[in-house]
Amino acid sequence: MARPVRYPDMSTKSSRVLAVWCDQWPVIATGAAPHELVAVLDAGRVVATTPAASHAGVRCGQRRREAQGRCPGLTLLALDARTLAAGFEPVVTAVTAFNPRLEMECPGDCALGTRGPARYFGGETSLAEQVRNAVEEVLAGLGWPGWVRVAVADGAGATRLVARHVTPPGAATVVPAGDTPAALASLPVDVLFTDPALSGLLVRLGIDTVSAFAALAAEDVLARFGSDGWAAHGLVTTGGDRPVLGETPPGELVVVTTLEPPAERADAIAFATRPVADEFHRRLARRGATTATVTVEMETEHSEICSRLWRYDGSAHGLVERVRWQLDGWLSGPAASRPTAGVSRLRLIPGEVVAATGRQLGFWGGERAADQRAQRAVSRIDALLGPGSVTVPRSRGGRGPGEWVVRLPAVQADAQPSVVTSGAAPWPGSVPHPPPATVHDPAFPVEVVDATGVTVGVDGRQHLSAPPARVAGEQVVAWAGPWLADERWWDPVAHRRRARLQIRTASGTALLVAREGGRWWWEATYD
Amino acid sequence: MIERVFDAGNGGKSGGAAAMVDVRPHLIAPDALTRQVLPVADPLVRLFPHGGLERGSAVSLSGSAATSLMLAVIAAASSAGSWTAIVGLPTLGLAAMSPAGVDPTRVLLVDRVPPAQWAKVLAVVVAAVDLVVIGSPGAVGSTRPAASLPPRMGRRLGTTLRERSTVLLSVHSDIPGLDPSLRLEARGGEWEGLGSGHGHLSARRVEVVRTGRGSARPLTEWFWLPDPAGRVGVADPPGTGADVLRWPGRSGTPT
Repeated sequence: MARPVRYPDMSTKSSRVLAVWCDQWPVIATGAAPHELVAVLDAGRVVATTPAASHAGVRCGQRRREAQGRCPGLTLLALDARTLAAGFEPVVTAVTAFNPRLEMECPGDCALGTRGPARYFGGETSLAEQVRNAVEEVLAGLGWPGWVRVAVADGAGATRLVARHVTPPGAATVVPAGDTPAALASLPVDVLFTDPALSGLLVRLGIDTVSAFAALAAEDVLARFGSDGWAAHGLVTTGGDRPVLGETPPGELVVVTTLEPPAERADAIAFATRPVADEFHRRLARRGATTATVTVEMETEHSEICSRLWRYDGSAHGLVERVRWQLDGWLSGPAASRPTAGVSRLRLIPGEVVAATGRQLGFWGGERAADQRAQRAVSRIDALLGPGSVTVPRSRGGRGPGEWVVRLPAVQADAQPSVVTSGAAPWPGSVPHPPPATVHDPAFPVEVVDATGVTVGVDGRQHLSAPPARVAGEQVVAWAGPWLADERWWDPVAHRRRARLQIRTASGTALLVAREGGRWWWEATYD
Repeated sequence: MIERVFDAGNGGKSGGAAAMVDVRPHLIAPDALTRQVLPVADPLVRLFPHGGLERGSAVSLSGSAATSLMLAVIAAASSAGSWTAIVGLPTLGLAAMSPAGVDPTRVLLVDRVPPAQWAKVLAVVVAAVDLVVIGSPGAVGSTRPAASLPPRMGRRLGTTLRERSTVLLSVHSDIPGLDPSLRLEARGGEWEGLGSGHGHLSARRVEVVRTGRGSARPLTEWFWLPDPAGRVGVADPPGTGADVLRWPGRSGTPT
């Protein structure tokens, strides 16, 4: 059933962006030539190959043995973070000449807003050509002529997709405003996702092109595919994201730190940056916010400054990695701009601060392999048992032990989960700590009687009609309460009045009972 | 007589475990989690012959304080960064997790699993996380053992645990075919703080009896679970003159 696809007018929603992409950058950084059989490994898998190796059957994502099996003469090199970043500096310098405010996602990629430069350099097409020529010069010097791809389109994320998958090598593509979804339409859907499970699922459902994916309703995508799917859907329907350069963030979100002793090497700065990155994300999380870009500003003891805007996945690990890349790049840049002393001051300034609504890709920050394994387990169990079968605890307010913390489907949990504040001020009428380890939901009806066998009642003034003597047939040894909780008295439908008692029985069980609606209920056991 | 608390060399199990390779090469892995033993809170260390939760092993918890004991046992590993999956325990009081020290941002809950899917779901979680806690399959809140699993599945689960270096803790349930290396029975909870119409439950002393295979000799210890400050601690048995509530700050000896 074909629905006519209506593309929203993206030109008003996203700004024009120019993206530069040097494909397979890790292998270029090692100094290999395109005709050699070389591949770069990271964590046991191939991450980049030369064209000759890929012609012989080596692909990204293969394991070492498989790659060697396909191509016996293959040279395998390990990924070196230092040369990766340092080698890209000449390209960055070349692009900076067009717009000093550019942003990078990783070595091999950079993007800049085109509004000012396009006017200055005589139009977008002319700008794209000039950028392409400038980078071409650098890459040809490295032995890779006709390799760079440049694209101009709407929205940072969508333009990167165009640059990586639509533009032919060595060319510059300019997509007219509003035509970006059409440009991406015929691409296969797995270009949108790094997780092959999700793209495989889409293909099995019959959605194999980007245009078919864009035709789905956004709410359905979020419900079925989670935050990853929703973010990708936004990318292809509206250009996804906010402008490349954001507004200034509130001052308290900027984290400044002094490095003692000054860091002169990338691994020293990585070690020192780890707690700073954690503090940066903590401050954002406290405001319920998250950011996709960060400006990293480094200052040396001699007051030399290097500032760069990075796009990253929102995790502390990703931020530390980019700080390393920045210092590596700075140390190996042109001699005139190289620092003469160690970095003594580091400032992290968030870029586009937005409310954390669970749209973030890489939902727990993708910080460690363990987080990714957990996320994959969530998807697999949801697939086995149905969506929403896996839940995570999230704090809410409440008086009863079943209400402080509730279960939320794991897929819809926020990117920055709220911390369960057990030290927060208690709600009036709430049962004191410690909370019970077993909560019965729904609660069991139970008999609470006094010494004469009459059910114990509670009046509005927190007075019991008589002390409880037997609970569920067992003798009461000690008790306390009642704690009255009168909730939502203003709402006739949601109004609940409960009186809770803690009771210890002769058999040693400690339990929590509540009176509601004229009956007693066994709510929790202190297991 | 010198009592050995840390008994090393558990025969075949640690031999198999030592051959495993760290599978998290390029991401920062906290040191505490790459050893073959997951950390456990200090007061509870004496219950574990290896000084912590041995990876690849199964621990069975039972008794009237089993759930609280389970939370206390996983707390140190969870706050150090391990992920926990709690399967088939829908009655778990989530509010009790944080005070016990468990990190709620690294917990997955799978509450209701149909018996037919139990084995598959277990296989997925054992491969994904470091700590798996299981209740019982099928019925909500039931305490009957996992009788719906055939013994061969239990044996396969044991092998998978060792391969993936995951720790399995079963609360009030026993998987046929899987023999836990450690059994902890938490009995005799003596809650303190309740009077006749006043006070509130504040602290509890629990007797934990440890039995198990190999170097886990039978052992009985008393613990505060929790103590008046909300923490786990070593306790003196009641009736030894230590019935007075000890407030935090004082030393362990009764006055």
